Amino acid sequence: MVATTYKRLIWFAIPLVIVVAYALFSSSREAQGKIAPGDILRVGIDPTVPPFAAIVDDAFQGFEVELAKAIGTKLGTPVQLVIVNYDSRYDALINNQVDCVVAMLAVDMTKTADVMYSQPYYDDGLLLVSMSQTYDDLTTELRGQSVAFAYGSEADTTTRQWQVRIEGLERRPYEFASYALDAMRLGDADTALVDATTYYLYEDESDFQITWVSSVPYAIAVAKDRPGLAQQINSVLDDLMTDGTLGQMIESWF
Amino acid sequence: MWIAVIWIVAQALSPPSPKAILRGDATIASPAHPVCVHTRLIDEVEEWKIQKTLDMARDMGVTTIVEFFPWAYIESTEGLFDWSQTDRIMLHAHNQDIRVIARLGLVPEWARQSGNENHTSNYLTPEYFDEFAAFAVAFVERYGDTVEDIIIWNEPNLAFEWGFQDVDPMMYVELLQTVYPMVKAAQPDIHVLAGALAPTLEEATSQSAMNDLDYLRAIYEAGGDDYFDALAVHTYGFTSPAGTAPSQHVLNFRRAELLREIMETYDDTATRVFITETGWNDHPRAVNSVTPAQRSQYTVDAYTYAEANWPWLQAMCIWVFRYPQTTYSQRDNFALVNTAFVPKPIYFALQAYALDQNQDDELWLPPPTND
Repeated sequence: MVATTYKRLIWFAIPLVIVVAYALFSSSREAQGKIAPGDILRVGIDPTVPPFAAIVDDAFQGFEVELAKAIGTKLGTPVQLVIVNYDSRYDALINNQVDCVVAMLAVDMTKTADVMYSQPYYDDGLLLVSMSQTYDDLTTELRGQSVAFAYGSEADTTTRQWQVRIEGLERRPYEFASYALDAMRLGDADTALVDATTYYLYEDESDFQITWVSSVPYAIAVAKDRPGLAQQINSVLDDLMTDGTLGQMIESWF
Repeated sequence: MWIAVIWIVAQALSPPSPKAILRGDATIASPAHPVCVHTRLIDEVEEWKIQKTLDMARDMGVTTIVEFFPWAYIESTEGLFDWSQTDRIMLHAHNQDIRVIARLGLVPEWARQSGNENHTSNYLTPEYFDEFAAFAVAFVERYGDTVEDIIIWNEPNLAFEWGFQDVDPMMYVELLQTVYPMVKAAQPDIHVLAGALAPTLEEATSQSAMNDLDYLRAIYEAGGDDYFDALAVHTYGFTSPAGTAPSQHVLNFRRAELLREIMETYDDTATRVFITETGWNDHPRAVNSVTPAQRSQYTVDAYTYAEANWPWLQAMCIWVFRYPQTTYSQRDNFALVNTAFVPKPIYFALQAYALDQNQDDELWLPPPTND
């Protein structure tokens, strides 16, 4: 009699345990905001700045498009690209229009009340480019040298600051950052201060020596209440960096 | 005790913060062609930066600014108004003899309690229209002596600017119907500006926006024109020169004429138009951008064209004078001055236009060549 009751309890308890465990797992997964294999990963993308992202012949293409798809592949989820622009990208995330945003987002500490950022996947900081040397001590080694830059750019501001403390620094402004690289290559300036993307896109930078001057890390943003998804994305980025895929993407698009 | 002593000594030795000392009674020269810019002063932490921004704007020939005054900042707790930052902006604008057009929007958390729990700060539902109107009344009661024009909301034809609700011109008209009589009762001389629609070619099926021309027609069809004194217009040049002819299927500077045609269709020719956002972007790689030299030329051409051809235009304001912080996106390439107060080429071009001067100095060197 006791054994029969026990067996009945077992038959009742096993499904109960399964249901409770699934519910706990599901709620934990939902609480963490993780994406499960088979879910659709909605990625906010800004297709207005090639080669990061663009629409060509009615199709998305670009570095960030490829990155978004690679993340989907690693997570086992189809990717749905959703157009966001520089004004709407954070609101789209907060309003759950998208799961994450891959759109040239420079990490912005004022946004961290609402969003979490992944580790960076790209750095668009300033590079000091020279034909002859890298720089360990800018204040000393740039003395008496000339630096080319794009007028009105971040590099312009930086060289104004340098000029205050670097003796004999000559500033050479050009309309475009690519002209600054031309000037350095052709000997009109000792160095050029340009953003990393301009440097990468320059037609032949093989003989150039570079020194990183600043960092503008681009990262993937997810909503603050989805740490699980942020963790998943970070893990995928780790894999893409470790196996060289991310580097190859940058090499192919820039 | 020692901590207090160290703190006092450190305070005594630290350099003083820059002060924002008001200008004296010196006469400010009037520009030959006054310019208007949209500023973003509300997020400026340091007062001297508010002053510096307005100082540089005034030196460029600016006599009018559009500034955003978020309800969410000013009345973050229901019934408690914090006017400190707004007062600061008004004080320095007045000191520079700059007229302020006030854009009102952005909903405080306490007024976003209905519906969607993931609402953004642009989420305003009819349950809170009265509260928004009450804020607008409080605003005009405080600043009605100096502010002549207020803009009700921004780009309501975009879903994200409408808090990701369905874009609905009827609902916007309902908002105007609520705000307009209350504001006019409080301050009869204030001008209520409506519209400020984003130029867009979205199709009727779009979930993200409604075509600005369709939206304006819908406002008129709903009788919305009884609830605004002037129309605020956003028109951008994208990649076209200022003089490029408008078309329903193209976004360019003269799209403003298509909006004006709609006003004329509805016999609303007496209503004035303020272009509260316009400009070109000079990002080096964005698809809708132009070069810095083109941007300068097109913008000056736009002013010249508007002055010659648009008698209905009251003001034309460039987006945007300066951001408080660099965003490292193409947004930065709309600014006339960067965050470090370094002027972009367009600053000097607009200054030369406004002050009727020649721009003699070359800003950059010629392109390098192999010669």
